[in-house]
Formats: sequence, structure tokens, C-alpha cells
Amino acid sequence: MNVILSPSRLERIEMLRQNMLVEPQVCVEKALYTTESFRSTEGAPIEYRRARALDHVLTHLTVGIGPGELFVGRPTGKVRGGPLSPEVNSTWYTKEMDTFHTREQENYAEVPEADKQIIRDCCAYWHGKSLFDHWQAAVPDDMKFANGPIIGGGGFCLNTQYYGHISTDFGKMLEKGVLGLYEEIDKTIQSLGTFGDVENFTKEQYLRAMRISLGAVVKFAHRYADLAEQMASGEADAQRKAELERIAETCRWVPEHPPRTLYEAIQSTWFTYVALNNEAWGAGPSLSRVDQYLYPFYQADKAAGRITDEDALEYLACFLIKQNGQFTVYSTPAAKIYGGLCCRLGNTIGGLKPDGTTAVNELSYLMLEAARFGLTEDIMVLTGQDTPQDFLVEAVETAKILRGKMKFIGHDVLVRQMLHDGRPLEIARGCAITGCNSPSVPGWSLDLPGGMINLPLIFDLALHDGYSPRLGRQMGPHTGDARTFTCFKQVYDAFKEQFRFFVPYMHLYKNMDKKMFADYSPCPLQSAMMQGCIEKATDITRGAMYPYMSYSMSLSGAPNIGDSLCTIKKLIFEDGTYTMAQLMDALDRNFEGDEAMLHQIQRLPKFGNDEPYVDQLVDDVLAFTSGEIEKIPGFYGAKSTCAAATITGNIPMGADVGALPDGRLAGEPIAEGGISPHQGRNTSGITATMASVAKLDPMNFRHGSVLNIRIDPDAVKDRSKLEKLAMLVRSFHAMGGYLVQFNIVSTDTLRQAQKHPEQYKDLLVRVSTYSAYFVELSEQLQNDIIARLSFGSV
Amino acid sequence: MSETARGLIFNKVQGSFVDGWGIRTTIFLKGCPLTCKWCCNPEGQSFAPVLKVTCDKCDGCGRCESLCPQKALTVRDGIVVVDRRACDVCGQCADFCWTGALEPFGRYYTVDEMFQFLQRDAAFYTSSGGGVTIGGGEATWHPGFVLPLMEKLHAAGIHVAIDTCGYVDTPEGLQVLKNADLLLFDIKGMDPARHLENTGVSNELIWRNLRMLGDMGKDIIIRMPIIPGYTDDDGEIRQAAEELSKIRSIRRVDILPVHQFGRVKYDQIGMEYTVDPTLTIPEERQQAIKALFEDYGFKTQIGG
Repeated sequence: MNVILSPSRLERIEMLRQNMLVEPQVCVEKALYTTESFRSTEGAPIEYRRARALDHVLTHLTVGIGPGELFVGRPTGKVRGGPLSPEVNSTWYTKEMDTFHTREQENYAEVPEADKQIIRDCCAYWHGKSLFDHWQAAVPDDMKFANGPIIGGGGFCLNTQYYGHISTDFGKMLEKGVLGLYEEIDKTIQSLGTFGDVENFTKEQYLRAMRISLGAVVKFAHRYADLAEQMASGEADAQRKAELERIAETCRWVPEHPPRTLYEAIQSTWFTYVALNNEAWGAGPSLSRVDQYLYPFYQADKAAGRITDEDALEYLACFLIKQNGQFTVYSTPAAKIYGGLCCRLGNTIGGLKPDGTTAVNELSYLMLEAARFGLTEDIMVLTGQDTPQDFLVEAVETAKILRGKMKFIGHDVLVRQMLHDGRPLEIARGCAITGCNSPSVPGWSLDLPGGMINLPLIFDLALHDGYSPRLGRQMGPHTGDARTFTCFKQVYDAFKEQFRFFVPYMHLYKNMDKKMFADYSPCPLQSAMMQGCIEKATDITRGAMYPYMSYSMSLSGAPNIGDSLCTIKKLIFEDGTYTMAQLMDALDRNFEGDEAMLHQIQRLPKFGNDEPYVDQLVDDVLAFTSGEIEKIPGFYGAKSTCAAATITGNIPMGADVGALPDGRLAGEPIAEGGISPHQGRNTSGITATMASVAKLDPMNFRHGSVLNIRIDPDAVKDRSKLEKLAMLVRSFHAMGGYLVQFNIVSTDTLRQAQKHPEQYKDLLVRVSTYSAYFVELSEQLQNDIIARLSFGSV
Repeated sequence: MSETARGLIFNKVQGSFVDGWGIRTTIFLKGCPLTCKWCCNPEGQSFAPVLKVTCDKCDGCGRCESLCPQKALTVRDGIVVVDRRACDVCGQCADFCWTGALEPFGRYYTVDEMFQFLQRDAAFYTSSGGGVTIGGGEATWHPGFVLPLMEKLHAAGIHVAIDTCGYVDTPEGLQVLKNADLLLFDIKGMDPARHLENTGVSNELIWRNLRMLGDMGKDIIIRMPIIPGYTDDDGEIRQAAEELSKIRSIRRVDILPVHQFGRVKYDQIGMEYTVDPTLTIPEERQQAIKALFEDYGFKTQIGG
């Protein structure tokens, strides 16, 4: 579309961008007000207590409007803040708060002593009461041994994340406003039978809690209206004064009422988002299909001559920058998995309309242009056969400008995945991307992740009769001495037996986690934003979304298993070059003195090079493992599904795994991205990598998967090459590929950034599935990024 | 020309954004009649396989000495040395050289094997308007392999580009050019004597072939390496533009500024690099040459 912004607009955007580049700070306010509220509601029903706590937080959270801001509402009391949630997990804040500013991974500003006192006090209250404490009590100690090494990032509560990995229906809030939702609630209350019936009474209580939560959002907006009015009265600059007055007027109107303009619609959406995040902070709620639910307002404004495309672009740029002011505070072990200081509030654009035609509209293009101002949280582009080519080229060009920060998801395979789980076609087409890479239908479905399975560690156990040499303990069943195995099937069967042994444990940890939320942490506000929760008077954590519910587990390191099985099949049992005993000796020596064997292993076919021999093994591993997982249902009858992703968990997971038959040395990271070929092994070019990945049956990882491809900036230097990259994306999706993202940055740039972090504060890179500021990552992670897939010569 | 004919391939690139329209797979055949001094694929010049030695990687373990059936390898001062007269590039040393210091350039493929490989990316060709590019070395000097391969590719509906120096006069070699859907045709100057000195051959045959292809209406992309002191004479470039403008079916001209990426390979295969390794062409000069060709009405780009 090429909308040119005036210098004054560009100046505003640059100022907002710079103001966002401040040191991240821990904010204790949410913890403080939540705890205060819970202390005052002891003994009351949990829904009521949760709603009161949200109300208390939003009534007291420090409000602030930065210079030049058009959209307001800070998710924390800081410009760029991360709140604490001791009510979810209170076990580690007091241990780590002294080193938040010095720890290697993800550090924040030093926490002042006064705040530390608040943290100590809050944690003392939540000790024994937090979700994680409840989980600890619910799962017997002798059954916990697989939590951590085998299934990392287990429950949400362990990682201090709420039940927030969801796509809510922002369109519903825009259509009805809080007042409209009140009406819906009141109607349901009236239709309930007598409150003498305890069941009816409980429902009514629940709906009242929902009303309190919604009211809290309005209060929060009105506090911003007050602040803006106050600032306007003291403002000397006439233009800014007018802006502040407009902010005041807007915050007075939305989200209480349905918005009348695009400007109001964006503000309403942001307030709703901030409130949702304060109710359930963690792997944040997705902003879902932004270009769809905002589009009617854009159209109306344009038709009435109220705005120009310049106005719309400026709004969207400000909105995207505003999204960067928050992050989730993780413990050191969790930070190793979810590293990157962000909230993962994806903006999904493109895709299909419910009738199956392309959903790309003017706002989709404007979102791409707005994203080019940088600093944006995730942009997910849904593409398929009918996606206009120029839109895809614009998207690729935006990815180039953002040094790769853009995810391309094939909507055809996505819809097939949704249909597989029984979602009706029109609903399936409404799909958005939640979290890093997970499909979910805003308002209609609940698709939650539930931890990552360290497949290479399970393979390690299969090679050692259930014993882990790295961890020094017997973890799995006795499946025999691998030295005595005489055929490929015996090896594979040992792996399968080990895997089957752990499956019920994985489900227990995950399902018990979900149960803790249902029992101790319902989310009335989130529920109000979903279809059917009001009518059913049932919370989202308590099965209200049935039958459109799935809980997944992520299969990590499948490429390592495929490559390892390939070594065993080819080198040991087909060619007979070595015996199993010789291979085991080499593995146990970490290949020291076995360079010849290692060299031969490295020359074998590897996943990611379009070699059917090994690709088929990876596919088979995924089919087997997901098949086993799906046998046990999730809590409240949710379907059990799988994803294939690691985020940055491939590094800590690898630390627990010994040398593997694929030639990976002990302790090294495992393959990243779930189905991305192991770092550096895909040497046959992008198309071969894409072909290998697209060959895998996507029905085995319906909760998402990630293919990372790094591209030299030179490969996208002009329009004709960008068009080819767009064609590549299109081909990948036509072949059945799901998500691909490109890291377009040179190795030299990254090395420079390591040497001079201060000069590269704004250097955004993809870390696995989402983006992070490169200089804020640990040195090891930085090196891992540099070592990742490279196709410098395309 | 049987389908079991073999071709010696020294490199394959899948997912190429250069070498023609769309997304392509490019293969490089070993053996070229020219010996351009600036050649960035010197390993592609000889028609025989050649053993690549990367001295930096050699740890002097000496295993290759005993493995080599021809006794062509010796370790001196901790680094392997190849007797290139004795080496028959059997590759046995490379299978056991775990540092990667020894590696053969060139592997034989039958037409069937190569076809199987090339059609793997057919989906990408179709969606992008791409195809296969056969380069080298020099494709026209391997007609026994290239013609049946092209036939199979065409039968499968795959677009074939031939990257050529244009120096060929055998009927079979010319047939390769005639059968191509697109030609990436190298032009390395106008002056025959200078061309002979730079590349080892005169350019008369090359221009004759180019005009013949133009008359046939073949899609042609001209590739012009600009090497200061060799092919950057202003008058010659202008004259080339003038001559090229008479050929109707040229679709684009690519200006290829000098680079040194191939230099390291000279040492690895026992050849000498005689071009000044510090040569560069200023950006303004590149733009000026581009503008010149654009003045003649050509779609022109810098780089392939």
C-alpha cells in the first residue's frame, strides 16, 4: 500500500520506540494487591476471591501515560514491567530476587529493598497455598521423578504461568462492550431456577464474579480517563492537550460501551488485553486476528471520511509498540526454556474468512507496514493458495526489515488439523495463532500446551537399560542391555517401551496442573470473553469449552531420534560396519578416540536433506509418540494432542542427555524447534529442508511445530529475491508445511552484537519460535543462535 | 547417448534464488574448455575428479598415508601432501579423514540418478516458475550426459536452463544449447586477443553461437564478469552493449562484479591464483555499467 507518514508522525513513533527501550523492571504491585485482596476474602468462594483480587489490582495499579502516547494502559506499574505471581508459585521469588539483575539469563533492574520486603511478605502468605504447592501436594513424591528431566516445562503453575495461553474473542467485546456483556450475564441469571437449588446458586455466584471482573476493566479505563484529563489541564502544548482530551474521552467510553471508531476499538482491545493478562499472566493471551476484528471499524471510519490510511498506520504502529511494555518473570530454569523477555501476545493477520475466501484486507497490509517500525511483539501471517502474492511479498519484505521476525503459517494444513479434532469448518477457518505457534480459534476453542518431552533422554534410557548416565539414576524400566541387541527392531522397541512407561506420568503432571487451576484459580474475565461460558455459567478452567478443547504435549528432539535410528539401522545392522557393543562403547566415551566412527556417522543421511531413508524414521517416531500420547484424554475430556517445538528448551534438555548415535555429543543442545533439522545438519539447501519437514504428517503435531531457517540478508536483498522467498513460503505451505520463520541476519552482525551489546540493544532475533532482544540472551544462547542453520549461498 | 551415461558433478545447490527464473536446483558438471584467470570454481575446470586438500583442517594423523592404494599421500611437517600425478581420486582417504581435510571434488551420477535427484524439488519449480540449471564447468562439453538428462526433465515438464561459456562447435554440444529453455550466457570481452589471453580461447565461436541462439529466439540472460584489468575496458564494454543490442531475445543482462570467494580453492587443488586478490569495483562504477546497459534498453541487474 505504501502509505507515507509525515515527519511529525514518524517522530512520535520513534519517540515511543525509544521510550520502550528501557531496562526491564520487576513490578511487585500485582502480587501486593492480589495478596492484600486474598487476605481480606478468606473463606469466600474462590471465584469471588479471584474477581475481587482482579478488581483490587486494577483499582490500585499505578497508572501512567508516556509522552506522545495515543493508546494507554500499562499492564504493570512500570513502563516495561514484569509482574510477580506468587499465588501461582511462591517457591522461588525470594531465592532469586537478589540476583535478578546479575543472573546470566534474563536479567532485570535490581529490585529495591522495599520491594523485596513486599515479595517476602507475599510469598509468606502464599506458602502452602499457591497453585504449585497444591500441585506438589496432589502428586505423590515418589511419582514426581520424571517431572523436570523427562517432561520439562511441565505444568503452567510450575513455571509461574497462568492459564493464559488462549485466544479470546476480542470481537465480542467490541461488539457488545462491557455493558452488553452485563446484559448477557443478567439474562442468564434471570433464567436460572431458584437459588434454593445449590447448583443454581453456585452458578449465580459465579456469574456475579464475572460481573465484578468485567467491572474492574471499566474502573481501570476510567482511572486512565481521570489521569488523561488531569494531564490535559496542565498541558501547554495545544496538540498534545487535544490528544490527551481525546484519550480521556475514549477511556471514559470504552471498553464499557462498544467503540465507535477504529481508534476507540484499538483502545478497547488493549484495555481488555491488559485486564486479561492481569487476571492470568503467563504465556499471555493472544491478540488473535487483529486485522479481522478491527476491520469493520476501519471500513466505517474510511467510509465516513473520519480517518486516512496515514491515521490508521500511525494507530497500528503505536499499538504494536505499546505491546512491548510487558514480560513474564521466569525462574532461572524456566527462563532457559522460555527465554526472551516477552509475553508472546501474537498478532495474527491474513488467513481465511469463515466462507473460505482470503481474509487479507487493507488492515492486513497496514499491519505489515506498521510492524516495520520495529519493536513489535509477534506477527503471525496465515498464508495459503489464495493469499495475494503481493501481500506475501510485503510480508516477506517486512520479515527482512525486522531481521526475520515474522512467522508464516499455512492455513490449509491448520484448518485440516482443526477439522481432525472435530471443529466445524467455519470455526476452523477462524483460527489464530496463540503463544508461539499453537493454533486455536478465538472464543471457540481452548488449546493449551502442557510441557515438553525430552525424547533424546528417553532414547538414552533405552540404550542404557532404563538408566541415565548423565543424571546417574535408574529412571525407566529395564529394557535390556543394548550391547546385546541383535536387530534394529530391538533397539526401537526398547525406546518404545521406555516411552510408553512415561506417558501416564506426563499426563498425570499435566492434567493435575489443569485441575489445580479449576480448583483454585478460575478465570471469570477470560471466560466472559469466550463463547458459551456465560450461558453455561461455567468457567473456562472447568470444561466450559468442551468439546473444543485440547491439551497438548510437545515432542522435542524427534530429529535426533530419527538420525540416531538411522545410524543404528544403516551402520550397525545393514552395513555391519560396527557392532552395537562398539557403538555403545563410543557413546559412553563421548566418541573420544572414536573420531573415525563419528566421521562415518556424520556422513550418513540426516533429517532435513530430503532423504527418504531418514525422513521416514523421524515421521515414524512422531507418529508413534503422538499416538501413545493421544490414548489418554486430558482433564474435562479434552483431547490429547501433540506439538513439535522446543522454544529454547533444547539447550537445558540437551544438558541431561549423553552422546547419541546421531553423533551429537553429550550435553550439547538437542535439535531446536521440534521439527527443525538438528543445527547445521541440513546442508542441502532450503528446499530440501522444507521438503523433509513438509513430508512429516502434520496430524501428529496438531498443536504446532516450528521450522527455523536462517537466511543471509544478501539472499533477500532485492525485490526479485523477495518474491522468490515468498514463493518458497507458498510452496512449503502447498506441500503441507505448517510454520516457517526466517532469521535474516548475518553471523558477523551477531558476533558484533556480542562484543558491543550496547550498540545492538534493538537487535531482535528469533529465538526458536519467538523473538527476543539478542543482547539480553545468555552467551550460550547467543552462540547457539550463531551456530544454527545457515544457508549463506542461496 | 544411453541413459546410463554418467556425468561428473562437483556441486549441487538446491533452492537457488539465482541461476535463472524462480526457485532452481543447479548442478555443476566438471570440465570446461576455458581457463578464465578469475574463475571462482577452478575445481570445475579439469575433466577429471580432483582431491581437495584443506591444509588448515589437517591434524597430521597420518592414517591416509597407509590407506592410500596409490601411495600418493605423505605427511610432511604435520600436514598432508598430495602427489597429484599418483592420486587417482578414489576417495578412500576422505572416507576416513574425520577432520575433513581430504575431500574429492566430483562424483559420478548416472542420468537416472541425477534425474531422480532433480525432480525432488519439482513442487518448488512449479509454484515459482523455476526449474533446473545445468552449469559447470561447461555443460555443452558433456552432451552424452546432458542431452538425455534434459530429455527426461522436459518429459517431466521441468524448465531447464543451461549456464554456458558458449565455446562449443560439436553438433551434440550445440544441441544442448538449442534444447535449453533458457541460456545463461557468459560474455567476457570483445577483443579476441585479450579474450584468448584471459580465458585460453578466442571469442569468435562464442559470439557466433550467441547470434545463432538469438536468431532462434532463445531466452537469454547475459552474464558479464567485470574484472578490473581484464574485462573492464570502457570501450569494450560499450562495444559489447552495442553488439548485444542487436540480439533480440536477450531478456536480461547481469553484471557480475569481481569477487574473491573462489581464491581459497586454488590452493586446495594445487593451482595458482594469478589475479590480484585485492581487486574490487567501486559501487559507482558498477552503477555506471548498469546504467550503460539500461541505456541500450536492457533489463540489467548487478549480481546473478
